[in-house]
Amino acid sequence: MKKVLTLALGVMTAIGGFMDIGDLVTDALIGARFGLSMVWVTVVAVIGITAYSEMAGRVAAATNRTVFDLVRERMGAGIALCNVLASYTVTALTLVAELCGVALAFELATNVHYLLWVPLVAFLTFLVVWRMPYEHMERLYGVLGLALFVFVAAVWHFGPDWGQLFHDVTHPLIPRGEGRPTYWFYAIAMLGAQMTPYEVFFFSSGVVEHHWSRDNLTEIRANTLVGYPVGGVLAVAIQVVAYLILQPQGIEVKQLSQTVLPVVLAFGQAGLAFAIVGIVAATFGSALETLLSSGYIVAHHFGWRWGKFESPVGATRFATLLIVTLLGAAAFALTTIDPIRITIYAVYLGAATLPFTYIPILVIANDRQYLGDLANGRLANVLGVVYLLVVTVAALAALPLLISTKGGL
Amino acid sequence: MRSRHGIAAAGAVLLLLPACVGPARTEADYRADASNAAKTAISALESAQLTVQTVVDGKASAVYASLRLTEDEGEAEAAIVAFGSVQPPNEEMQRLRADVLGLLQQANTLLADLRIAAFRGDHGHLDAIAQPLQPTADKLQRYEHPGR
Amino acid sequence: MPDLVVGLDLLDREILDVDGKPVGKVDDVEVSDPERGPPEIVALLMGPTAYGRRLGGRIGRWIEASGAKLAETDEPIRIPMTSVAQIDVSIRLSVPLKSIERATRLEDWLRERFVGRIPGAHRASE
Repeated sequence: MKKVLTLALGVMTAIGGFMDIGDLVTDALIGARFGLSMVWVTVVAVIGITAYSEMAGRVAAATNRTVFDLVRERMGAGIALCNVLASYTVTALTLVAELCGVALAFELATNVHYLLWVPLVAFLTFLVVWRMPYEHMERLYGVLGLALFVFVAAVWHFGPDWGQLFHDVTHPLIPRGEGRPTYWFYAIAMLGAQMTPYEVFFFSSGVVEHHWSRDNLTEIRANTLVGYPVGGVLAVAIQVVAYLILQPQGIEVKQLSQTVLPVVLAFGQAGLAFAIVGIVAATFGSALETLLSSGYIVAHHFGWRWGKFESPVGATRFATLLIVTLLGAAAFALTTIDPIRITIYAVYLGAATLPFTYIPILVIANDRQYLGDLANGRLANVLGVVYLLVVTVAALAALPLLISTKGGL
Repeated sequence: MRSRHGIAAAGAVLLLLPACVGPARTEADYRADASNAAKTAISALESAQLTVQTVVDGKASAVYASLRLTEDEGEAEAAIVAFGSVQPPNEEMQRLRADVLGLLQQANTLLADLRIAAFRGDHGHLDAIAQPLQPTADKLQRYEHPGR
Repeated sequence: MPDLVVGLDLLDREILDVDGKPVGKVDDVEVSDPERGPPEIVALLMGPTAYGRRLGGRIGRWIEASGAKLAETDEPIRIPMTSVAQIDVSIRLSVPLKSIERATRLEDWLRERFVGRIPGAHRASE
């Protein structure tokens, strides 16, 4: 019984971990602008992140080594250092977006400007990383994040024509007035929002820190195979309500308050309360994950002592890096830079760095000397190669698209 | 490795690129700017319309309603500043400018009135103040899709 | 010591001390003087000076120089091969972390000057 409970909690955490400010913003924005013509991207992304998280989790369980540790060993110090710099920058930028996300959710509840909440949010993040029993927190925000299912309920509430919805999903069309480059710009943003690189780092670090071994393969697989797809359902639900309610009116989503507008329309203040709880849980959880991940990236490269279970005095370089990163992110957020834009750039650049994370994982997962009988089977390899191609094409197209669309304008 | 830095630098520049809107040179460019401004204002008006509906239905809290309407007003204001700062290329476009800016101003005033009413908790009158929302949005439609 | 491919089996590997505590990464290796017989690896090198020197280029030189400034010596941290117990997925030492000269210098400095002074930094591990 206890095992089932642990499993369920892990899965819920994975769902909570999947959803973050990137999803909340891009899903609503894309649903309102492109209808359901990008649901296929979510499907593609969910299969990809599931496959690669499972691989990274399996590698970590078999070797007790994390992604960036292995990146350096396999790619050499030079390339690995570039990878570290790129991944750290993107993850720290995502942290800025998540801090703003929590602050924006507080603004939704109080109508007090989000910039006033940013320092408090940063301090709360620091407190949890510094002092709290992390595992309980992780479960708490995982479970509270489920409040976001209010978006799924809203889909039912509006009682859409399911046949039409299904048709729109399976026959994606670029809406009138939108150019092809813009469509693909947002497709890459969506890919980045849902395959966020930090999720893979975080998951693999979690496996090492929990001292999971090959006996815990069930937990690892349950977390990825159930957690991410259910997270994907949430993402699609946000797209669908935006499509149903916002697109017909020609509303462009530029604020978080617009993401929740359909839910308020459906369920009133109770709906809003659920949405806010869900958003706070999802973004706060992701703020912790991105902060720790940015520390992991660097610590694993240089072989520092690290970890959320280590007391700060036991891993002072790691702890110092966390503090510096958090202060930097909070300061950046306070420059009044548009948090929604930052979010879009963070997920977009995230997509562009994916190949550098995925290549070493795929290589190591095939190394029988390291993994023995846990090495990749045929399915994992086929998926692995296909997705490596997908993310490589996306990464190569990212910069030209960014220029030609002037950032998706 | 050096080229990687080049890319990083280019990326940083691009992040800032959308913020600067230069003067529009051709008539087509200017019409596109007008269309974008109209689109933004329509989005703000329609999103205010939905917000007012949630208030009238008793679904939105006062906090949420005034936050939403403040943001919509901000969007309309941003459209005015962005479009108003572009130099019209000829006299015909100058007339277009006057027409579009006039409508944008209307939209902005309307949204400000709504925001003030919502902030005051005057939810009874919100519906009445919101009446011109749709007509204003309809008028802007002409400029969003000029050929139609 | 069995035959090793330095690039694959040693460089960039994780080093763990006798208790399994992370020590760092193999940033470089020290090879014996070839004039005194066939070259042999005599020590593992660690720290920014070794890392920067191996990286090369402008960034490598910058890391090397700033590392040397911080450490007040341009000698890298040195672990003689006689202290290596096992080479596997990670490299296991036969000595504790504390016995390696200068290996914890930055950690200790940060503990005294910064991290240790923040309330709650000493909380027990979960």
